[in-house]
Amino acid sequence: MSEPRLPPFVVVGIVVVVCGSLLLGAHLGLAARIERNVKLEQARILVDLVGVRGLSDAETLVFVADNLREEKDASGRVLRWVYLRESAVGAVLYPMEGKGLWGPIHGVLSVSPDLETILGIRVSRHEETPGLGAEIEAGWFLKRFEGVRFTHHGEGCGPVVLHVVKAGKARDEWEIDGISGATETTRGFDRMLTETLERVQRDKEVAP
Amino acid sequence: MSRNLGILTAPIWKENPIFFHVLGVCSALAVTTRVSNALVMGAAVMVTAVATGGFVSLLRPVVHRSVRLLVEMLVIATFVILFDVFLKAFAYPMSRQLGPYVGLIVTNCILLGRAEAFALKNPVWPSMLDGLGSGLGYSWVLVAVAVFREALGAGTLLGFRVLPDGAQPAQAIFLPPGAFFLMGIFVWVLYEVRRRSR
Repeated sequence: MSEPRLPPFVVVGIVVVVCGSLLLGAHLGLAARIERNVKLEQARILVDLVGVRGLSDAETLVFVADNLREEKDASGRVLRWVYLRESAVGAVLYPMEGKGLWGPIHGVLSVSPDLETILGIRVSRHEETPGLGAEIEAGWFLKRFEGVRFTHHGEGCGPVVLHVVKAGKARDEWEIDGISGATETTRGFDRMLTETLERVQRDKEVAP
Repeated sequence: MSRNLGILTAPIWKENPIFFHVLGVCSALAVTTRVSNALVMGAAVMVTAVATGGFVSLLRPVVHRSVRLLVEMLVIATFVILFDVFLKAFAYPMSRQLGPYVGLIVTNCILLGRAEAFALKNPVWPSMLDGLGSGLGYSWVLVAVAVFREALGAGTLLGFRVLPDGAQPAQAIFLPPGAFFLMGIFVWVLYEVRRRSR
């Protein structure tokens, strides 16, 4: 290999500028598209959770804007979405955030208007092991939570008593089997769910 | 032409990066639980290998030996990130499925290995063919491993059920150690086949 005449730092400088421009160009050109994908993904989850099927991409965004009331805190973070069906509350949806084995887990929890029963859960984002922990987003696992009460009924509502436990170790209706081969993910999922359910508990009631 | 054909086919079989150089095994263990993941991951390595092969070869006359690794890494990282961004923009659900593994192609030894061993010493066109061949060689192994792991570990292929109802999927093969055993068996069988065919 003959040694080239241009000084190395000039060559490296040029390569950096070229590579940087390529990346910048792709980012600027596609940022809007990616942002729409992220927004659409969120909207799809919300629509799916309230049981509406077969909407196109555009219809999904419109449906969410029309039927779900977004409630934010002072800093602009979404606290919950209230799903209004024929001017009554159909469900209340809470964003969930927790830590799995490899990274953050994000999801949405849907509870009944009386804030006592889980209607459904969707996981929107995670970095768990494909085939193992990644199953937290799968239907077969999340179905276990549908229609499950998470608090003892009585004088007001008691503390949250629902927990996700090691696969095969659930003893009663207050424990739900986790995923075998994914103990840490299961634990993280349980912490995230408990934390969100406690948030639900503090809300007491929802006005239409 | 026959030389170019040889460059393209060598890494697919005779010089397969995973089997005979044991490169890129980390991602091969990680993404082979689903055939669909393996297909996209294979495509990602193929595209980036072709692009980096061509680009590194193009820069060959002006890159000083002392900075060649730096330049190679820059080029590889650029194309991998580009692929990742395009995947996010046009195939968002798949990008989510693969999670961090597309980005981790930056550290895939196949790309750097081929850039060092081939693209730095050869013209653009053969370098791109070499990248394509390496990508294909990586992909077919990934898909082959994934077929076994998805079918036996989850009982499905590309999402369709293939095991009879009631058959218990083998959890062990789904775990990374399961993939290690599977790859070990693969390597053994292929070495034998290669040895006998000589």
